Amino acid sequence: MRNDPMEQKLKTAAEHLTPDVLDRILADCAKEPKGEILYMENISDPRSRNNNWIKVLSLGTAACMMIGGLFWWNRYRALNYTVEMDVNPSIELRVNKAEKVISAEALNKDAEIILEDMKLKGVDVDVATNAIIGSMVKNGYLSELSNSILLTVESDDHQKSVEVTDRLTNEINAALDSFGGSVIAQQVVSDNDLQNMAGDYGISEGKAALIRNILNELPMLKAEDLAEMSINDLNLLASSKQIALSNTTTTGSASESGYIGTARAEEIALEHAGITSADTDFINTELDCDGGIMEYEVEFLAGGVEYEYSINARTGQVLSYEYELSSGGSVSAGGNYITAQEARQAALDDAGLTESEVTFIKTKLDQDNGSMVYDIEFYTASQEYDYEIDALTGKVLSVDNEIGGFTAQTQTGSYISAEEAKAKVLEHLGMDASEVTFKKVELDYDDGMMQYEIELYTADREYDYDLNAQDGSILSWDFEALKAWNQGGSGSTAAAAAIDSETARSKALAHAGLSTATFTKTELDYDDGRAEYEIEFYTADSEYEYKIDGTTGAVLESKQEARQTSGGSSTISEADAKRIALERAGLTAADYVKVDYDQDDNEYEVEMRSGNTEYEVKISGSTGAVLEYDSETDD
Amino acid sequence: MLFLFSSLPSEAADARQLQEQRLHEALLRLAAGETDAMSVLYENSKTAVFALALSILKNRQDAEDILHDTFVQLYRMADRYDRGGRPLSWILTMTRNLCLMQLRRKSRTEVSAEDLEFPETENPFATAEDRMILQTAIRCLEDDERQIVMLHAVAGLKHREIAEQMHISLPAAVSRYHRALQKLQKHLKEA
Repeated sequence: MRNDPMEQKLKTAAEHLTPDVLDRILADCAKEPKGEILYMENISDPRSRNNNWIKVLSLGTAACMMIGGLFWWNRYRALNYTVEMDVNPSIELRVNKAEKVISAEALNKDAEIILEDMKLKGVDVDVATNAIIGSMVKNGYLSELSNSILLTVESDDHQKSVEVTDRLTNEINAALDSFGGSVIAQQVVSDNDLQNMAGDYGISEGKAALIRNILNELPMLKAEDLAEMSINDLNLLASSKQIALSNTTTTGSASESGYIGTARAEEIALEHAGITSADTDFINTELDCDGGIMEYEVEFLAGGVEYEYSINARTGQVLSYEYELSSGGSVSAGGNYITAQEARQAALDDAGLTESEVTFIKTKLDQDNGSMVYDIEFYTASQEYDYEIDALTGKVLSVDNEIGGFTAQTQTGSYISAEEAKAKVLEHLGMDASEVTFKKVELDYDDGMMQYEIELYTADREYDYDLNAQDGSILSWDFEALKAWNQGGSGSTAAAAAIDSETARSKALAHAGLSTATFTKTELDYDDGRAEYEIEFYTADSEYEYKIDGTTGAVLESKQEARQTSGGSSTISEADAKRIALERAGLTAADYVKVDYDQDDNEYEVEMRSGNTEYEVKISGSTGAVLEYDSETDD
Repeated sequence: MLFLFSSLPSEAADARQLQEQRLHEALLRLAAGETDAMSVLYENSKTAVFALALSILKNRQDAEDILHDTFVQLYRMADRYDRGGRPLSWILTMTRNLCLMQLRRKSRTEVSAEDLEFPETENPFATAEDRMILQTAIRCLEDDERQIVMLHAVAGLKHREIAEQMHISLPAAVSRYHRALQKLQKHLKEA
C-alpha cells in the first residue's frame, strides 16, 4: 500500500498503460542465436508511424540531388570505398576502383600533423597507408607503449571490405614489425546512428562504430567515457573483458607497457591490505574503465574476507578499496568480531524493537575509517532505521531514523518559538536542559516547509533533529557516538582552537608528504564539541581533504583522491557555449537569458527566450556538441 | 502531516523484496537457458521499464520500442548478471542506456500530442484519468523530476537507489521527488 494517493494513481496509470509486447519479445528471442551481437536498429521494429516528415524530407533531398547530382557524380563517380585509420590521429582516405587515393582528410588536429606536406592524391592505397603509419611512428603516436590502430573499411560491397581490410592489416602489421603492432580491423556500413554519435563526441565514424560495438557487449559503460579513450585503451579494455566484437578482427596484442601491469597492481593491493600472496585463496584482476580513467580492479579473498581494490593503471595509486565478510565465511584473522545476529540484536535493543516487528534489509560487515562496523538496515510499519554497530564492541556508533508517510500539506499560520522547539527535543530525549549543550537551533525552509534544524550534544552523543516548525512534530533525528577522546562529562563546552589555520595547513601538508599545494578550503568548525579545521587542497594529480584537531594539531581524518583529469574540465568557453546555443536555436544575443556550467558532467546549459518560447540547450564542455535541445512555448 | 523523508512501509518493502527475489531467480534461469523465465522477468519489471523509458523519451511509441529492446537485450545479457547485484536496478540501468542511445539517434525537440497518445483499446482497465496523469507528468515535470517520480512511485526504487542511479545526492532526490508530486497534483487540479 502506498501512502500518497498521487503515488498510487501514478503507479496504477503506468500499470494500466504499459503495452503488452511479450509475444514480440519471445518471438525475437527465439530468432536470435544467443551470444551474437545485434545492432539496435535490427532489434527495433521498423515503424510506419510519423513518417510524413520523412516523405517531405525525401522530396527535398531528391530535389537537392537533382540540382547537385551532376557535380557530385562527376567528382566521386570513381569512389569505391573509404578507409579510416584511428590511433588518436584520425585520417580518412577515399579510394577509387583503381585502388588510388582520391582524397586524404585529417579528421582531427593530430591528423593534420601526420598529413602535413604529404601528397597522397593519386597514390596507391597500400603505399599511402604505409606512409601514414610511418608518419604516426615518427611522430610518436604509435610506439611500444601504445601500439594499437583501428582500421575501418566502409563499402557497400562486403566482400570488397573484407578483402581490403585483410590486405591493409597485413600492410600495417609489416610496417609496425619493429615493436609489434595490434590492428583492430572492422567493416562498417555507415548509418544515421553512427553519424550522430561521431558528431556528438567529435570522433570518427570508425571509432564510433567500435564504441557502439563495445557498448553492445558492455552496456554498463558510458559512450562519453569511451569516446575520450585512446584506441589502445579501448583495445586493452576489449581484450581484458574478453569480449568478441562483431565484424571485427584483432591481430596482435594491445600494449600494456604504458600501465603498471596486472602483477604490479596485485602487489600494490596486497601490500595495502597487509596480506601476502600466500595467504590469498583467490585473486582476480581485470583492467576496467571508470569515468574515462583506466584502472585495475583487483579482487581477492583472504581469511574469509573479500577485498576489492581499484588501482590507477598508469600511476599505481590506490583509488578506492573496500572489504567485507565473504558470504558463508567468518573472520578468523581478528577472531573477536561479534556475529551478525549479535549486531542486529544490538540495533534492535537500541531502537526498543523486537525481531518480529521489523524487516531486515541489510546486514553487512564493512570497513569504515579503518575499523570494522556492521551496517544494518531495517524497516518497521512506519519507519526506516539505518544503524552502524562497532563490530568489535557491539556499540551503536550511529543511527539514522527516517519517518515514513509523506502527505502533502500546506503550512499556514505562526511557528513555535526556538525555546519551544528545544523543549520538544528535550522531551523526546527524556533529558533535562542541564544535561545537553545546544549547538544550533535554526529556523529554515526545506522540502517545502518551515523546519527547525537543531544540533546538540550530550555527554556521549551528538544529535541532529529536524522539527516541523508549525506543530513541533519531529520529522527526523539521528545521533552519532562521540569519540572516546572527547567525552568530558555532561554539558562539556566546545574547546577553543589552540593552533592557527596556518599551522593546521602545514600539519595537513606534512601528513600528505607535500611541501606545497593549492588550498581550496580552510575552515574552523566545532564537531563533537571539539575545535577542528577542515582543510581541502589539491596538487596536479590528487585532491585532499583533512580534519585537523584545533587543539593538538593531530590529523583526525584524511582522504586522498585522484583528480579526474580526463574530460573533467571544459575546453570550450562560456562564450562559445552561448554562441553555439544561439546558433542552434536560430536566435540572437538579445534572446539570451543565462548559462550554467555543470562541472560534474562538463556540460553547459544555456537558457534563452524569444517571445513566449523558452529554449534550453545543453552543450558538451569538451567538444561543443549540442547534447540536448528543448523548447517550450507558454500557453 | 508533511514529513522530511518518505520510506517504504513494510508491506511495500516486502513486495519489493519479493519482486527482487523473482527477478533474481528469473535472471539466473534465463542465463541457464530457460527461456520460459522471460515471462516472469517481464511481468515483474515491465511497468518499471516502460515508465522509465517514457519519462526519458517522452514518446509512447519510442518507450514501447525500448520496452521490447530491453527484454531482448536481457535475453542476450542474462549470463552477465551479477548474482550479488540488485536485479531491478541492473535492468533499469540497461533501459536508461538504451533510451540514451535512442535520444542520440533522434534529436526531437518538442513533445507533440501524437507522442503521448495511448491507444484506447490497449487495456480495458485503462481510464481517461490514467492517460491524463501520465500525459501531465510528461508535460509538466522537468526531466529529472519525472524520472525520479517514476523510479520511486512506479518502479518502487528507494530514494537512495535513485540518488545512486542519477548521480545526485540523497536529499536532492528526496526534495525533487516531493516537489514533483506537488507540482503534478497542482497541474492535475488545474486540468
